[in-house]
Amino acid sequence: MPLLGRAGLDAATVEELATLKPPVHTVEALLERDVEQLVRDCRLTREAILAARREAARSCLGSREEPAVAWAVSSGSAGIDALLGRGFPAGYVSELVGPTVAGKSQLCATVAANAALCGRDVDWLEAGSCSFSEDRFREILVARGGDAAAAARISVFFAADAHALVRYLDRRTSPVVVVDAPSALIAPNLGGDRNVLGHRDLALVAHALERRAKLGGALVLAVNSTVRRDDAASHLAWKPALGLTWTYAASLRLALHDDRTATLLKHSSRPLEAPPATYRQTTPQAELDSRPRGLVVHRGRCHCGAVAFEVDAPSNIVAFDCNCSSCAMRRNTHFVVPKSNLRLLRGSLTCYRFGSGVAQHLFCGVCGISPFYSPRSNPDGYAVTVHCIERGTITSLSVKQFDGVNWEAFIDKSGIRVFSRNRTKT
Amino acid sequence: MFLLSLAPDESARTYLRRLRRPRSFGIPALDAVAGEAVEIYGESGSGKTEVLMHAVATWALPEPVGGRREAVYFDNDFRLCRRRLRTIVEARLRAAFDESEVGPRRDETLARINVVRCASTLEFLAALELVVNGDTPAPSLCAVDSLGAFVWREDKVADGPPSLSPAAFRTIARFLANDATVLAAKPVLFNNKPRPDSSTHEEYLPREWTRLVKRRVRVVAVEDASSGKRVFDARLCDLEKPASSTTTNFSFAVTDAGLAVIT
Repeated sequence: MPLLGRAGLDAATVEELATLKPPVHTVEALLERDVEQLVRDCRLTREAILAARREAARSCLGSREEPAVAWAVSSGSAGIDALLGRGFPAGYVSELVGPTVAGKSQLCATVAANAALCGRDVDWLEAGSCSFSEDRFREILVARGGDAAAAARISVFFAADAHALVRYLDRRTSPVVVVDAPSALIAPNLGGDRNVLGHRDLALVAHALERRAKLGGALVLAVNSTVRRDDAASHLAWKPALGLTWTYAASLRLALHDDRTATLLKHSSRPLEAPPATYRQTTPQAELDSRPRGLVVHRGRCHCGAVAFEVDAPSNIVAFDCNCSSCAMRRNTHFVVPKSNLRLLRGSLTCYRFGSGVAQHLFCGVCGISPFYSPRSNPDGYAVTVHCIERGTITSLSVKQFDGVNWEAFIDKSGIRVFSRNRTKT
Repeated sequence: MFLLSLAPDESARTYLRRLRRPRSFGIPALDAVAGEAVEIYGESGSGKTEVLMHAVATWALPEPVGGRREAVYFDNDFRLCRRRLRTIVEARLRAAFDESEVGPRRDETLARINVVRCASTLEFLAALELVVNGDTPAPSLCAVDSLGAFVWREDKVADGPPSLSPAAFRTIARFLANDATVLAAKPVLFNNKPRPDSSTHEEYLPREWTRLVKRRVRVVAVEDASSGKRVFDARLCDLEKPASSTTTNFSFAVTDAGLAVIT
């Protein structure tokens, strides 16, 4: 409550206002009084009173800069990113709502990992979600290519109550904030619209989140649980928890359902041309598993066993039989996989190049067998020799002829390039 | 025909100029309420902010698209997305002018809209004071988004200083006395007895405001069965007269250019 003297008013005015009954000492009191009443009771002129109020008002309002650039963090799932625009936008409070075990915490962890990998600091505020596990977090980070430096950017705080949550929100300045989950902290105090103090805590938390997002330019992601919906107006059996007051906190609401679909319920900065769009897409969980859907793990080795590897590929293999000088001598019918799908378990390979030098022909130095190599047709993939794969995992094999002798003419017709494209990328 | 009253110290020329420029919000049903305080009451996601943005944009756009007037937007919920406001203004200008004129006209339109963000009731009161009592003449449209922003956040201590929101509403009353319009978004904060036709209204604002407001627009988001799109239904009712006689219904959809009024 700033005093009038410090607000820039001159001493005579301050003294005069202090003689009123009740006296006016603070900026708030001056602005709260009715103008006509001030004119009647006080000896100052109307002009002077209005000027004093102007000064007092100016002292209350600071200047605020607009957050400059709009950035977004990907959610880790192509479908959800397409639904949202580019990802979760900075400067907004986004809410993830859905029944338990729908993948909300997983999605938040993926967003936090993506943000950390982009070099942004992340505040993870744990508010009683019971699903926080440091190991799972680290797993997600490593699966996306993170290291210790990225992990160091994520700070975890545990909030015991709503006020502690608000304190953490106001004190920190990181550009990304994840709150998981305020409903566990606040819902017990709400008393179903009857407890005024509980609602006040809720409003404090909601406003603190909005301040961080809108005034601080941060990306705020909050997780909300669901309660049963009584009216039959909507096709959903549930509605977001925390009641009506909370619904105004979020500018973006994304619902995750049991059947691995996501629906956008609210997005204030884009008009929703269609009704809440339902997207059938793989959840972040499936994408983070080392085996995306539809692929099996094939094991392979060279002849002596010094080199052993694993490769993720479909069980129905499409292989190519090439008649270029090198492949004809080796007679290696091979199938192509993206580089990330192959893991070398042991051994090392010697490299041989010829001709254009693009292809790296790898072979075991002991037995001379080439279990896989990096072909000229797919520099971003590996060509794995079919016959080096151990029995049991390949259910069908179809072999196509590749005219390696006339490589330049044949390459576009062959359709081999698509095999090394990473399916889980956008 | 709504006759404008003469403002203090106003010359005949400015009075006639004011009379000739129609005051329009871009929504035909709302144009009749210029000069009064109107509440826009609806749940989250029912289109209140969109209505306000559309009205403010129409107010400030140059003729013939809009009214070329000053407007102030109090963003208490931090709900206004400036990019969206720019998109709306640009889309409306592009429909009426050439591409080359869009840029400068957009800038002058946005300069006429003053956006104020208030984080507390004191800031709201101070901002209102500066608008009404400031060095520049007060704008003729005040949009408040939203009125329910500070409901839970004020400490109502028994012996302490009086709550500031009645003072804010009294300042709005001074604003209205100058023949300005106030459009206020009012969120549904209490819904203890929900009725299926969504006609309930639970008041939570003090008497200083309920004395001022004469009209209320109730907005609801519905799914349009025929086209599958989301459409917003609005019902404008006059609070002084009985509800059954004077209600105007209109519905709109949200597009890139703001609102597209359907009926």
